[in-house]
Amino acid sequence: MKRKDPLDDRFIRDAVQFIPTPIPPQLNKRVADMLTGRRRSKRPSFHRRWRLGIALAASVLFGVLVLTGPFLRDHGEPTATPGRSITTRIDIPGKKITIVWMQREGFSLPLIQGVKP
Amino acid sequence: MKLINPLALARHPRPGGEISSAEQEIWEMEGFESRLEPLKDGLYGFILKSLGFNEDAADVYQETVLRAFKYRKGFKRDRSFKTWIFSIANNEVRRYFRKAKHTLSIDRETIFGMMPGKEADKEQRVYEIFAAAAFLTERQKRMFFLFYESGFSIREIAQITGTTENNVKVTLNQSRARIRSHLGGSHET
Repeated sequence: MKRKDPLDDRFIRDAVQFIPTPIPPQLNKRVADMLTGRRRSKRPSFHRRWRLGIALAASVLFGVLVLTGPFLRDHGEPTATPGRSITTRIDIPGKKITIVWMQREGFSLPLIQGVKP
Repeated sequence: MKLINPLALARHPRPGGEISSAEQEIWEMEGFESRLEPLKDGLYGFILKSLGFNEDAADVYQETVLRAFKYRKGFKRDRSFKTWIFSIANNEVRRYFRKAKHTLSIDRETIFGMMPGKEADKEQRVYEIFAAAAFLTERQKRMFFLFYESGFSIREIAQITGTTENNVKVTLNQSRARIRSHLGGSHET
């Protein structure tokens, strides 16, 4: 006699449908608002938000480095003569970041030379 | 936005029986919303489970409904609205997997957190099925959940995915075989 397949359709369907999936009220409201024109902008996708976050963080870091460059230069390692580069080393626990300050007129352009573990 | 009651509009037609484009728009929108309302949970469930309970399911659902709304004039009235909107969801899920470079893993805590929490044995079996389903190919997942979660027939799945009924049968058989192999002997009686 042929044995009944334990993984029959009913078994799988019961298992798959066992988890209820009501639509989250916030999502429902958001989509309804977009359909009626109360909300125009679409929520950016997860990957887009992630990329935007990285770009924003990189911009902020770059800005902080540019602004604090002169301070670090004056209070950190010996001052280099204008037009030449100097090196600042920042020790973060576990990592060592080497930044080369390319001096130009009025500002410093930081170039992260390398991160050593 | 205040919606006009279509029944009132029908009772008080404009002189000459004409309706403006704005009123036509409201008619179509109300029709869209009333058709979508009973399908929302099922549509979200199909997307959520196809994506392995990933949080991106909300974005895919949103994109599905907005796309359906945008192209609602393309819906043919002799066709099932449910089949039509699930075909859009199917395309959106496929598009998501094409864009996503990483593989989606199943989070045990998330799945157990969504279960009613009354039958420990059954919940473990349910989790095993979903964990095994994570190993299906993207195409197998879509057909698997259209069949087992949304309850579509083979013919309807063929319409939704734009393939033949035989192709759907073969894909479902392959899905079952793959799930069986991942479950190993744990479900032998």
